[in-house]
Amino acid sequence: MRPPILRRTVHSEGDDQLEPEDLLGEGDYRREAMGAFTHEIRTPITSIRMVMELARRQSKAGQMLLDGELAKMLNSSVDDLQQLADDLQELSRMERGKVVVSTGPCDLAAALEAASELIGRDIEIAGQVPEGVEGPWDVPRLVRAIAGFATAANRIGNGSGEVRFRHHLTQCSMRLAFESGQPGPRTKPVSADAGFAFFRARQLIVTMGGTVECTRGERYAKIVADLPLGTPGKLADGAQSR
Amino acid sequence: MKILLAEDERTISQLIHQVLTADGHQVNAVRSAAEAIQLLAAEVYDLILLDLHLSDGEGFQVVDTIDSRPGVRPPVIVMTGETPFAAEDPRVARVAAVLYKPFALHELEATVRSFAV
Repeated sequence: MRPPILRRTVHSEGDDQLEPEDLLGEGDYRREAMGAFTHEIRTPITSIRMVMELARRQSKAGQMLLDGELAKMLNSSVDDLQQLADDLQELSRMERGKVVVSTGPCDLAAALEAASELIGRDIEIAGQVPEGVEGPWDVPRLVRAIAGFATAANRIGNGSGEVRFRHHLTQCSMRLAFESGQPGPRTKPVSADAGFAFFRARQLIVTMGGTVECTRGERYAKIVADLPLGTPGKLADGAQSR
Repeated sequence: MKILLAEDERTISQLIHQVLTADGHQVNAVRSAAEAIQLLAAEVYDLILLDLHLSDGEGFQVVDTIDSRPGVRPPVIVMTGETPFAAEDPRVARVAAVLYKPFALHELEATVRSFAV
């Protein structure tokens, strides 16, 4: 088990308000999600085609049909393909209201920790750990959503591998913000290049009754998710609100 | 040929590296635009194989860097999962060839071979 990669940093007080002109409609999100999916599915297919071609060549040369290294690559690409198919299926089920969402309670710090594990070493979520915060959230779905937001923020932000995380308690929600890069004068709407993980994560939060907004600029991204705090959610004693 | 390969997907990068090295090319593989730009400042390459979606941003940042430098410009082969570029897309004029994913190894090899000196 690798050590936790969440670390504590101090952030200045700030607001997570969005520029309304960059907000997209549901139809736009759906179109961009499909664009991201059709783009991403090509990568594992390319790997599989390449591995199969190499295996054919090895076979013709009288070598082992599929050596250990190639088999590992093939497995990894098939896993990626399977994950994309599962994600698309779940996205579709969520849109059709076919997904039953569990209402927790879910410990936010533990969800962040699990999301960091899921992402792997390439991306670090840096920020204050929200200790003692519980809410009525679907644990596995929240974990995957956090991982998706962190991955997307890094991808459309500055790609440094460090995503700044902040949390903030509002009257009716727990606001989570994932930020990469530095804001500039110009902003633009989120698009397919955020990656399918972003659109899936967004739909997960919406299905749980929350909202998600994304602000992006040149090598900058900020994704803000509002998680509802309805029954049976609570803010545990001594919890930090930021 | 001395080839700079910029591709952030590990499996594809490993496979391309393996095949092109077996074909007798010298291949330096990187995962980000920043690493590619750094190598371009230090080394001279005969060919650039460039994924459009690198871990730290758009692959065209690398093309910008190549275009801004004096001297001989190495041909750039772009690898992308995007839908085919329209003929009037200004990006088309800036690259020597485009390989659309999912492409096959023999297509990659043939394209690389067409730029061999």
